[in-house]
Amino acid sequence: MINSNENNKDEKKIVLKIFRENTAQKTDSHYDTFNVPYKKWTTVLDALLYVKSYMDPSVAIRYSCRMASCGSCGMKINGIPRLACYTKISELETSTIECEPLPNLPVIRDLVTDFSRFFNHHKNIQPYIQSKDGVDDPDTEKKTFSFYQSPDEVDKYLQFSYCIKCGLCYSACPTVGTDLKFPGPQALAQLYRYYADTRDETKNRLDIVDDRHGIWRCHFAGSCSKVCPKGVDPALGIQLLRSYMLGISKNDKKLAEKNEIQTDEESI
Amino acid sequence: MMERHRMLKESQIMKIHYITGIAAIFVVAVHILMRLIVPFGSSLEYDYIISNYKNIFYVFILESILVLISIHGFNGIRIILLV
Amino acid sequence: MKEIEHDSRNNLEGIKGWLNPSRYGWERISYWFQRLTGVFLLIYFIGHVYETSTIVNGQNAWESFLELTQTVWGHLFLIMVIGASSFHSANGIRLIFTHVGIGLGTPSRPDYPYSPSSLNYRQKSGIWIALILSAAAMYYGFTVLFGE
Ligand code: HEM
Ligand code: SF4
Ligand code: FES
Repeated sequence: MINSNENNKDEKKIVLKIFRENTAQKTDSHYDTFNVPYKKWTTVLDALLYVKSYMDPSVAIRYSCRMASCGSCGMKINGIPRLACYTKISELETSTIECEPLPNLPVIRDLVTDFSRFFNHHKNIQPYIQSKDGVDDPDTEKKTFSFYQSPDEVDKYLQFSYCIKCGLCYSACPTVGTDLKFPGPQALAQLYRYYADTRDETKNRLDIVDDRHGIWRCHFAGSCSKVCPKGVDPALGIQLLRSYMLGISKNDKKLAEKNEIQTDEESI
Repeated sequence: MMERHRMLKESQIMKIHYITGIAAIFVVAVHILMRLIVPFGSSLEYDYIISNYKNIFYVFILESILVLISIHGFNGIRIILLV
Repeated sequence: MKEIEHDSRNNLEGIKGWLNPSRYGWERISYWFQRLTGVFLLIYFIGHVYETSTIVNGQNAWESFLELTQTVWGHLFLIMVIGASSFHSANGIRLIFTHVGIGLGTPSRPDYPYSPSSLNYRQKSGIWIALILSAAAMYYGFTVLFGE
């Protein structure tokens, strides 16, 4: 340790400003400031963990994978929702970094927010495939055949299935910022993901969000797609979904069902 | 979330919003052209305006502007107030 | 620990977040302008209907009301109306296309570094065209109103 101090004499330091609040104890919110050494590859999460290890262990953060896979380290970094593990200090190009909890989600403590509302919106759009085959009929034996899906059919929804439910889009959305009942970009994009899946046969899936607080409150401000760390492009999913709801795009699923055997053979 | 017993679905209301918006472009264009085909000053003269109102086609255009933009504009306010 | 209610408005960005459109790129700015111009045009529309309806009270009433817009501030207000309506219509047409899924590209397998296809160049140029159009219309209005 002594050696490392000497080696690090010309190490660069960053000012890390962290939002502090304990809602359970109703303490007033304030910011704590720390001077943290960093290298070219240091992420904001690394810096926060440094603070926890060597300066103030009481700073509350949520994280797990450190590789943009689990979606738990979302926070507002310099005013914009980002994943702490996916944001390098060097790429921010500022001398002070401000970490705040994700906007539009209630604060639990410091940088940790409550995702219940976000997850409830996700559940509400029925984020699972519902298919008649072998499900409706209790006598049917366990299914012994596989669903056929051509690469083209997979491409229609694959992009949206990469969502890690990090809530960055929800946090950036201007409609969510005022309307708690609005499902938000994540849930709406997932509705599209299941609607566009040829295996899904859910009846009236679109009606779930054809509501005055539903999909029509998207004004295509694009902020969700701007901040999404996984290239999901929720705004694209929402607009494509509207295209179906307005009858501009036709659902070829129904047609495919009719010619099931033929299309399957053709696509293989 | 699912709200029933409504007169119109939200998708139908928004269809009306888009259609009234597009239709407004055309009727407002006629309205503006009526001002532009004469010099700006005289387009605002009392007698000229009154003579416009004798033209039943133009009156029809003006009425439709009133209806279309009221629907579009006040629905817009409804949208903004839905928070 | 006390449960946090799902309908808690704690930490919502609200109108304050809405008022600053500069953080998220051109699409957010266009949304901001679309809404502001929409409200502004509705205010103008109501005033305009009220103003022109004075014509039923005869020539004097009409001309005395007309004088309101014959001032420098009246002219500037009309120029704002010209700009707002040009932007709102041009951008409104773009939005209608996007809302029906046209001009956004198709879903594809995302590759790092991700670039969302819905925020593509066509959309950005659409926004710029609307802004330029509205600036040009305001310039034309300026020359007509102040050029006499
Ligand atoms: C001339 C053609 C017009 C077109 C093509 C048009 C188009 C649109 C569109 C597409 C929207 C929806 C924006 C969204 O959902 O994000 C909108 C909103 C709106 N428009 Fe228009 N519009 C037009 C004229 C007008 C006029 C003349 C008024 C004023 C009375 C007006 C007032 C509004 C208002 C108040 C909104 C709500 C703003 C919002 O939703 O953010 N529009 N317009
Ligand atoms: S769509 Fe993107 S930003 Fe939104 S929750 Fe999923 S991964 Fe996160
Ligand atoms: S720690 Fe898992 S996404 Fe950042």
